[in-house]
Amino acid sequence: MIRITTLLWVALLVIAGGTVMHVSYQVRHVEKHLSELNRDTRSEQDKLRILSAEWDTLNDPQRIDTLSKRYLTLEATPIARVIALDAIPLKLTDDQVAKLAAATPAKGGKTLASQTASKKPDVLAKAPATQAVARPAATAIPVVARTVQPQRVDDVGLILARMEKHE
Amino acid sequence: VTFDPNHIPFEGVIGSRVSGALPESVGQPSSMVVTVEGAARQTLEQARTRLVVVGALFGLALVVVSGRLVDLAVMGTASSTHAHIALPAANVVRADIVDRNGHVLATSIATASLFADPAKIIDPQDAARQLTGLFPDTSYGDFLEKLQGKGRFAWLRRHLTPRQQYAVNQLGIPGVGYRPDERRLYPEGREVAQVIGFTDPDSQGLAGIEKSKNDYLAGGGQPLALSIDVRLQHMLHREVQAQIDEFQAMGGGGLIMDTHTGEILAMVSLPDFDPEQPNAQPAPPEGEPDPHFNRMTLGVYEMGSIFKVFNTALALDSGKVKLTDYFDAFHPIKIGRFTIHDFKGDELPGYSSVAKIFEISSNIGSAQMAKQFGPETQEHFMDQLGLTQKMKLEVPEIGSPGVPHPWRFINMLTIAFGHGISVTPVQLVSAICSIANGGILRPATLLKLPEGAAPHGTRVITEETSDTMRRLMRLVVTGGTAKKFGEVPGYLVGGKTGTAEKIMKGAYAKKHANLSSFVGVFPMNDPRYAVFVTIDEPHGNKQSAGFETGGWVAAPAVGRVISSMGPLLEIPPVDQESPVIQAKMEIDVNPVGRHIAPN
Repeated sequence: MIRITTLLWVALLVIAGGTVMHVSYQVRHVEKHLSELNRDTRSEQDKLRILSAEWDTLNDPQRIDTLSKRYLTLEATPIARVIALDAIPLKLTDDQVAKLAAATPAKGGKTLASQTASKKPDVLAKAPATQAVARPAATAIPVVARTVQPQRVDDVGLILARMEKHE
Repeated sequence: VTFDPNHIPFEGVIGSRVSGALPESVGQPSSMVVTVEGAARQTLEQARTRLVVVGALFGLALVVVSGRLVDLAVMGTASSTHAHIALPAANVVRADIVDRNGHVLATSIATASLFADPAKIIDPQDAARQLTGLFPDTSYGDFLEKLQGKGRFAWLRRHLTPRQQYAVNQLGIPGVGYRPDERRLYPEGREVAQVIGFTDPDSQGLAGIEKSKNDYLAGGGQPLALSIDVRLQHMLHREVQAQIDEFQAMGGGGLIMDTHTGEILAMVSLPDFDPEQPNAQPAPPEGEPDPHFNRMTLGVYEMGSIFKVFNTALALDSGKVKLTDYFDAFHPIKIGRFTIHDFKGDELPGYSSVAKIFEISSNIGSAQMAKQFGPETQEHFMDQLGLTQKMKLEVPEIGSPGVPHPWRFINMLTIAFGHGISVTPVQLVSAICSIANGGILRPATLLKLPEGAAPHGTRVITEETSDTMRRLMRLVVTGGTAKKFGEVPGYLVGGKTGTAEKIMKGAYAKKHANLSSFVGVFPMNDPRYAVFVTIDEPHGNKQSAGFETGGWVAAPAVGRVISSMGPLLEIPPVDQESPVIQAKMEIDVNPVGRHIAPN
């Protein structure tokens, strides 16, 4: 009886000891993994900071301004070309066109109404309310200088290249 | 041995243990009792009491632990269902500075800095030669001196990029090593340098926001958002530089401010410097402008005719002068050995209305108007506008205004047209905003305010006076001194020019030393932004017909800035011919009114 109990205790002790050792090794392993992850996270964070600095260097308005002046023929839209939606005349009905045409004397004393009546042209084109915007004479399309894109100053990016130069 | 069963409980147990055998095993009757007496009995008694106390304590502890277990497991009152793992601390601690849209203005990146332990260097000459090959901008002698030093530590080079670090490793020099370091970078370069300032190699702020907010930034944390908008900053920088180049000026500056909140959206001071190498340029020679000097906050200047805005606003607001009054703007005012006169060719014949005096910017007329309210009222008003005290702003570089003391009658006459008082441009633009925005002065700030928030302000003039002033400032651009230069089709720009002779060594300089400025406000029917440009010592050229006044030199830059920033900020253009707008902007320059004779 005593022997069985003793054996049982010994077995339990061995199992407990084994479990503790196993858990302890596992913890050590997991901790190592965690520290690796932490190191990687820090390294990624550092890289992210460099990339974010690089992004804002590339997005510097001054740089974009210079590049657009060098490679594009686009220019800022003058504010005079921007109008509110309400200011755009809507398409008139035939009745309104006729009324407007009758009220507007055309060249040579004749009213527009008499002209439109005989020729039945595109009434909208002649209606004074929808005067076509004077289009500039067709000019040659400016040729965009197709220069090779500027090469990256350095494989590590602008910001690091600048750093190396400064120090 | 005495026998006293009434006084000893459990005597059987004690007795039998004393006797060395269990009651059952010896087969004795349970009533058999052995007792001890004297010292032995006392010891037993004490031991028993101690046992009970200790047992009770352990029992209590067990009850507490069980109670807590039941509490956690059954009641479920634990506050958190997630385990918290502290994130690894980042290598870099100094916080970023961003603009109002989140564009990074200053950031820190982790670097490695190279040091040497001279005691461990085997062959200093060879090491120095190899390092010089890698970093050609540092001389062999510099490296050798450090490598042969007496101490145990010497910085060889701060802030290596990963590529350079790799190259040094390849050399395999014993006795050198790295320390993790951080390096401050400014992606915008020069353009915001004056505002942001810079740090030393150990990332401690030395100027600008970097200095004033050093404690916050050094603590890491959330990026600091400024009121600056880099897009507007670039536009302003570009246009101020263009004017400096065109008029061969020695410097210049500009400001864009939100008229309703006091936020500074752009602040430019030229010449400027590279914040990543703040000391790369040698100190400028005597008489040349210092690139580190922020003209907008540290510089104090006599602003000239721009002060007529304040003079006219005060005259009208005090009730002493009406818009229909006429003043003698023709005869120069003689006081003591001074004579106040107008620019040749600009003199107004006879009496002129308040609006005409403002439009043509007559010094004589303005001084005559000032006589109506007197020096005390003027001093009080300038005080209210915040032009007599050192202003508060989030940069350490702030200049103190130069004000007359005592504020005499002659001072009043010159201050009426902006001489004899010098203020910082930021103060000036804040005050202009208060005149245009309905009469509320709000403190200028470089930090972004929450959307829709307007800081508490103080009323300086009535809304009615402010409305009149808007019409008058519009008049300057449609017909006055900034005619055709400050105008932006589609936007109602209003403003005031100012051309001040510079003070040098306590006296007014000779010709060609002007400070030509223009402050524009738009849209004038409902002001939202104030744009200020000043050019230091412009030289008139053929294109400006030799003129170097604010209208010719500064106003075109303001006009160009407004025409670029308007569409960007989605400000709808207005039809200047529409009756509603005309009614809002119209002003009678020749009203029927009284003539006030100079006394």
